[in-house]
Amino acid sequence: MRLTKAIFQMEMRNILAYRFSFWINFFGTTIGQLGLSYFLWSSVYSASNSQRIGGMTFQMMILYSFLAPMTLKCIHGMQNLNINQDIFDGGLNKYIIYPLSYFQFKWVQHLTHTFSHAFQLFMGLAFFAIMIGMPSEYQFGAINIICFLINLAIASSLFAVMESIMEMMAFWADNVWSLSVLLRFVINLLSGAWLSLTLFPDWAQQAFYYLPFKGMVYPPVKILMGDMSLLEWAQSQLMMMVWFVLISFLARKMWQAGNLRYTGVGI
Amino acid sequence: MSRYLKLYLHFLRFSFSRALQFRLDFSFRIIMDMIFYLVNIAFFKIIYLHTPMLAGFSEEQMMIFVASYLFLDSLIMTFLANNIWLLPTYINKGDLDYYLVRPVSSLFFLSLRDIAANSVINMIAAFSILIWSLNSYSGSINLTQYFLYGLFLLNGLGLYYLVRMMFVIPVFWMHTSRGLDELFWGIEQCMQRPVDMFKGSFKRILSTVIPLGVIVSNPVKMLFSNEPGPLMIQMGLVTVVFGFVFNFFWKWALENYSSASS
Repeated sequence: MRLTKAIFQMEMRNILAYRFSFWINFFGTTIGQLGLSYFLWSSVYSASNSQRIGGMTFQMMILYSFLAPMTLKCIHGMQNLNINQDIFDGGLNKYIIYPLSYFQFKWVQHLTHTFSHAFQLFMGLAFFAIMIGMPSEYQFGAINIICFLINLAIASSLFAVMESIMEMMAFWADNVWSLSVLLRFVINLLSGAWLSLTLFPDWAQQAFYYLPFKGMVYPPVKILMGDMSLLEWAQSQLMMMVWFVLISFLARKMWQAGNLRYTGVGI
Repeated sequence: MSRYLKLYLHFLRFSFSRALQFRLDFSFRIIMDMIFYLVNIAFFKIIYLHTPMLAGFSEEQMMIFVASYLFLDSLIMTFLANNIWLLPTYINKGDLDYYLVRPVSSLFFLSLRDIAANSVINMIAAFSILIWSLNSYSGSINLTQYFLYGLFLLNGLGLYYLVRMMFVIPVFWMHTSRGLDELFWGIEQCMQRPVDMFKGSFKRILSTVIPLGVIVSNPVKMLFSNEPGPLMIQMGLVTVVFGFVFNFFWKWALENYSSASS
């Protein structure tokens, strides 16, 4: 626990070392995202002449489109775990003498970034409330925030384990960043980060239920908006946890197989 | 001029031989870009399930817009992205020295040296999507419109380079590109949407101060417009002004460059 705290503090110092970047990133993302979602959906709602699209009013859709990419950013955490870099330049060596597990170190680092992005998200939500105003259907509750944070922790861990698989391919290939980017493209679309999942055709929505991505963005945003039942939310978390166990098992096997190929020098 | 052409042919040869050494990476990148194309097309296909028009574009027209963006993106990924991506590292590590002392334009060398040979296949794929979308269009487009579209899409590539570099140049003073990169990727999404979707000062900013909005939108609008004059003037003017501004900032940045310690 003490080690976890130390890693968390060290990573927070790293993040806050570039305060200008932190704030420019916050304002750029918030204003950019707000503008994009507002103008996109105002065009769609005015052209379609509908009050509700995908079960959401215009105001709720804007709020969803604003929160979803920010939630995705939380889940992406530190973006890259840099496992491929450690494999490539022999950086894994130093973890042999460290009194902690390599994956624990990476996981805490990743969650620290998730935490810092979540802080930005709540500031963004306050900005949204001031600039646009909350929709009348929006239901704020402490339980929703707790569920949202639990969801973030699970989804972020699931993303980390998926990302680790992509990066561990570096045991076999020299340059694997494109696999990480590929994973992000798939998550962008299938998690509901770009579009609410209710906008997809029915057959796609049914298929999403069994995929690991569904619980990552759509449920946390909907629960934060007070627009999802606790039961439905819990089901999505359960499905994510099942996937987490399965993918972790696969990651472990890859790690064991990959370690046999690791030479310990800069390749 | 012929010296630069010869130099560029060498860049091409080196880049291809380097890319072919890593065959697995070569295929990873192709798969990645294919997924990127699919995701972008799916995004608009899903939106059009709920509306007949978006920003004045029908679904057919929007597919041409998306395909144009994808083709432009493939050009950026092939010819510019790797070079721009590495520039902040050169600045911070002092590696820029090696480029500044060479007897050719440092900007030419830094911007065009590394060609992502593995993206060439994706460029062909993106071009095929563009041809498919143009073939699927039920309206008529004449040869002049095609010519202007192609010409101004290339102009868009140049304008993108200028805007992207304006987000890199502050690294000379800030010593990190982290925040600016993320800010750019956030704003860059506006290029993936038709500029007419935006209204008021947001649209004005995207058409002038940060002209990402016109890069794809204006050439595509030229395909459907009988009066492309204002679109051409706007895009040409923005490019010229941005060219001057960029040139000024680049020279200023180099004056402030203090080698390895910067």
